[in-house]
Amino acid sequence: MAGVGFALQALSKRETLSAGFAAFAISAIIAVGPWLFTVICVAGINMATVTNSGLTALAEMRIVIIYNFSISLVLSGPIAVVTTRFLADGLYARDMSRAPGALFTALGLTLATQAPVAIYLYSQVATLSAQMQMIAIASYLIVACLWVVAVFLSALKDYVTVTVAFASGLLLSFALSLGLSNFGPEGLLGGFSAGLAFTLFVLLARVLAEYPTPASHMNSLLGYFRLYPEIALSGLIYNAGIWVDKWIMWTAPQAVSPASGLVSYPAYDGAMFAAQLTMVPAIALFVYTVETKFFAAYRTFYRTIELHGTLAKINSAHREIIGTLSRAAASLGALQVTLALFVIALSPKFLVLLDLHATQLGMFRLGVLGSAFHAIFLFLTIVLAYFDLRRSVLLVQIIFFVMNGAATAATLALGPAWYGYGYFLASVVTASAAALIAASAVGRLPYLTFIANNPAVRTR
Amino acid sequence: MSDRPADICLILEGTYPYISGGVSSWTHDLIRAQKDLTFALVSLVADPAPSSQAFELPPNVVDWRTVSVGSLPEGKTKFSGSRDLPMLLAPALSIYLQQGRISEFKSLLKILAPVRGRAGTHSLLNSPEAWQTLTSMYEGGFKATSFIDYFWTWRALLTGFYSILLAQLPEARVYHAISTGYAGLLAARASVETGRPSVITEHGIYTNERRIEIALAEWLHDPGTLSLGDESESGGLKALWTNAFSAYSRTAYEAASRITTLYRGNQEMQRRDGAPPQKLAIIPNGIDVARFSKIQRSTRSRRPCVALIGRVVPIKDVKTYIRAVRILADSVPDIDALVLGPDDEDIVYAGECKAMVQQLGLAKNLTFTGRVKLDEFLHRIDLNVLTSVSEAQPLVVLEAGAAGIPTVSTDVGCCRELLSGIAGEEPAFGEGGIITPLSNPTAIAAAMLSLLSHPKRLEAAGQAMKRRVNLFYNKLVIDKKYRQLYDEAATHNSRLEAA
Repeated sequence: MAGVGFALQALSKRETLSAGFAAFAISAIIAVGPWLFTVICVAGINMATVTNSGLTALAEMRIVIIYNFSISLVLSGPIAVVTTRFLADGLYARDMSRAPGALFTALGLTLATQAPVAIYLYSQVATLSAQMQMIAIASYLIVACLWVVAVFLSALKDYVTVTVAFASGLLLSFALSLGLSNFGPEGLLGGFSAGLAFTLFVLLARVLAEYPTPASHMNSLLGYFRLYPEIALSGLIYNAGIWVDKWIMWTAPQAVSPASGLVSYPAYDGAMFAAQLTMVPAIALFVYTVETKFFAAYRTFYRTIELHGTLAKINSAHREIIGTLSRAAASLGALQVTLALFVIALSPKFLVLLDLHATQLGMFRLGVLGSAFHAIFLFLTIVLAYFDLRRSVLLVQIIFFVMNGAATAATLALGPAWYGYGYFLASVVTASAAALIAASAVGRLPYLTFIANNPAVRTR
Repeated sequence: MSDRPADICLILEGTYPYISGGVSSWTHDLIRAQKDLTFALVSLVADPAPSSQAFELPPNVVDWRTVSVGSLPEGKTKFSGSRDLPMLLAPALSIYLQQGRISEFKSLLKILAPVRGRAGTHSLLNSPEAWQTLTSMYEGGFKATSFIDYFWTWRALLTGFYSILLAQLPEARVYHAISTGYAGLLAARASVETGRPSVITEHGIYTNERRIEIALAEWLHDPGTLSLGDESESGGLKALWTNAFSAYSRTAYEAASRITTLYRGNQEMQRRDGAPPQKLAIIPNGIDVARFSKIQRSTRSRRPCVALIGRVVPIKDVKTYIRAVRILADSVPDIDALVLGPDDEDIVYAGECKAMVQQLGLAKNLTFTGRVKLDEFLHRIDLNVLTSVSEAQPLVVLEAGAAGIPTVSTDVGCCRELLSGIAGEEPAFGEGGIITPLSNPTAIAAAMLSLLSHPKRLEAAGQAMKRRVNLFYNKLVIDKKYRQLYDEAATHNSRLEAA
């Protein structure tokens, strides 16, 4: 029979829409978990350091840990987020047979890329004793691996193990540091790192117990870097954005330059880390909201499409998503603003409680205000990630990175009275931009779902 | 490629030169028969294009291009007027896809012609404005339909439609589409844009074939996944497709200067689909009369012989033939009945037929020859029998006829025309056989008997067929008819230019 007319029928059977479901259901934890751990660790050590301000050994251990956390978090970022995506896709396809292979690939990549960095940093840049160099490098690699392994546990949604492992490891860290404090900075850092190693091995054991299949397809994770370069870049930029203001402030005239050569600005870092702890309730709230109400609305939207719903039904599911997000944003904002005002009003009291110096008051208040907006754009970024809008996510993170860097550099030039305004301004601008980007994206969700973000359409 | 326009541009959908088959062979013969004309070919294919071709192009083909109706060029993301394009097209598009009037088709062409080369997937299907057009067309009549199915249907439909409107056309004096559908639509576009004439030749009736196909398309209705298992939901999408194909046919008919088909029965359907009666013409398929008419009829005394010439498959209804032979054998015990044709295509059916022959005690009367050279059998066949349940213009009736053998045939396709001549045949050659009802062994046996038992009538019918085939179904004559068709179209055009 003549005619092509209907060779087109395969069309309607084509796979639907975006990567969709659950792809980033775990991203909330991934995005905030390691950062939260860092804040708690550093804030804890800071308190100890300030109390025992005479102890140079403690200061030396503290600066190594800060360097380890900040550099490894940034450099592990691409590996961690790409692995997240890899595992999320596996979960969606109900095939986790490649997870063990991916674990070893991810760890191998981490060690291969970061061991040279750590070795160079502690043997060439810093001036440390030979033992301290060894321990610092080992400690660095433990932390770097920790970020990557944590991704696997989060993918399992085994938050209990994660929490228990991190909490008990941290307690062990502090206990061992204290116990070994007689051995100087080497003892302190060694004890602390042993605690982190404990956490790492608990997490590893848990992951390997979950996926007992032999490691295979070691390369399949590598393919994801080619597939999702935006995600890898996001992982880098996001973590760099969090740290860039600190790095810049480390060049301030007020920064501390010890014999080790590892400069830092404990007053600024301490004020900011303490201030950013105010985000914890908001993060808890939005992790809860995203995982429950928002996820329900989100799933209804995609299921309505896939189960052959009418456009009216799709639009109503779309309105429900907008409603859920607006309500979540409103309650998040209310919580964060109330908390910020409360903390700012009582900040002199908090200074005492957190053992901060009076000169840190201004930076602390700006940090608290900035954190309120930081929490908002974090929330919006996670929402964008749920819709697989990878470019929008990257854009928000670039805005924060650039603003945080540029504005902080500007405040550095303006003088100590302005310290802290950089982070505050960057958070405000990023939150506003993220709100505009998210509102526009969520508003156009059906169009994005069917056309602009639909791989089946784009590839044709 | 030639700088001069080709004499004829053939527009072929899903056939030549990629696929082998009846229409493709016919096209190949047409090009070779018109040796002194140059041809440009446009092959319309689904996406992706076939990687191999079944025919080598004859030397008088000077231009050949392939257009995929399954994909569009990407086009530019933004150009002047790109944002307004979908909205500009939408009103005419909606009306056009339902009614198929050439006026809307012309307005759509007028909008698209200036942006050809820039318009494509981006501006026509993927832009936010295209999305708005899609949703408003959905709201306009499909509100209760599954949106995701509508979405893919809309994209597939518009991809096909726009691929025709955006395709590059070779220059030619006459555009000849070998079907309606996308091919007819492209011919209509060529005619509208260049002012050159277009001609349509239909073997099967495209719209009718599509209608059957769409009605049977289960993928448009999947009760397992439809939230409301309502016939009307997928019915709406099926109607969208059928209306679109009807629209394309209507446009092709309206733009064409001549519309030909193989036989009168098809014209009914063409008229029903909106073909203007004054444009309709019949050009049947021709056969090599010289080859068959030189076969000498055997005169030596032998058993009376009837034959079914065809593949042993259900559509030929060989079982009815066997039953008819059983009845005939009661009156003509020495009847020699043949089944000439391959029996390996439907082995189960062929097996059933052979078992039936045994059961009915016909082993001495009925022979399955398998695949044979027809020329070697025709000299001793007295009567050709065709029991098919569906045919168009069966060549075996013509081939037997050219050899002076009459036919008993069921009333399918144009068999009545072939045996009795078209109404008002001039000169009237008389009956070339007998038409019977379908699946009626008694009637078929009676028809066979009435001819076999009256040698004079048998002889007269054979002669009538021979003369009719020689005059009306002679390939040499048919080739001239196509030549006339082209000449006539060209003068039609010069008349238009003069006017």
